[in-house]
Amino acid sequence: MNSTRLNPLAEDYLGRLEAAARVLPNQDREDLLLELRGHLEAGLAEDASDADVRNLLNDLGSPEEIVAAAALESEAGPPIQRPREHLGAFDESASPWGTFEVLAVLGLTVGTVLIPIVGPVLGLGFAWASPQWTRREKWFATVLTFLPVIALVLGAGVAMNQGPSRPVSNAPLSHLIIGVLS
Amino acid sequence: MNIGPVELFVLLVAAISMLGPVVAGVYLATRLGRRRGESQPTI
Repeated sequence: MNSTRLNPLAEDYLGRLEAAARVLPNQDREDLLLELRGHLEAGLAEDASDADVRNLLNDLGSPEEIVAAAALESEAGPPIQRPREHLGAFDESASPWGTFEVLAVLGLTVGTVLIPIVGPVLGLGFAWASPQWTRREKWFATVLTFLPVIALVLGAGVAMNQGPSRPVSNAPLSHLIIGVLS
Repeated sequence: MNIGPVELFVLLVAAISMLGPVVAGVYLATRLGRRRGESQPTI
């Protein structure tokens, strides 16, 4: 198979398609994956943005829908539960919240308090591994995460250069901070 | 209890630096929440 590496969003989509297509006969599954990969390679320019990829994937439909349609065409019939038959007024399959997304948000929020440094770093790692956010959103979150630390370190550097440190005894500000943090 | 400016600074950094990741997490959650709102309902 002479496949080129696609945009991570498209690769993730093909991975989900491959997982959903396990219910199809081998030959049908391989044909389907090849067809979809070819379609994505033809439809996406090398410099396609995440938004372009997302639009194309939305046009294609979810992997489960494609597999259901392929299963209908297969002689074996649909051995899987077809999507949308069990849906009510709310389409659960449209939810962008997956494991990576939940872990990313939990790591950055709750993890920051429970496991300082490790929690946010893991959260950012999951965020970057997730295909649901655009690169721009990931960068923005990364900058937001480190901005206070960088600003404080720079501020401290300036403050330290202005004079020697000396102990402060019974300063009201220090009492306030210790009270808040304890 | 004597607290020097360095200790004070470290405490400040620990407190303020927690704000960044929390805001980033809320930002990412908001983006996903908005995206979900855009794509539903379909039936």
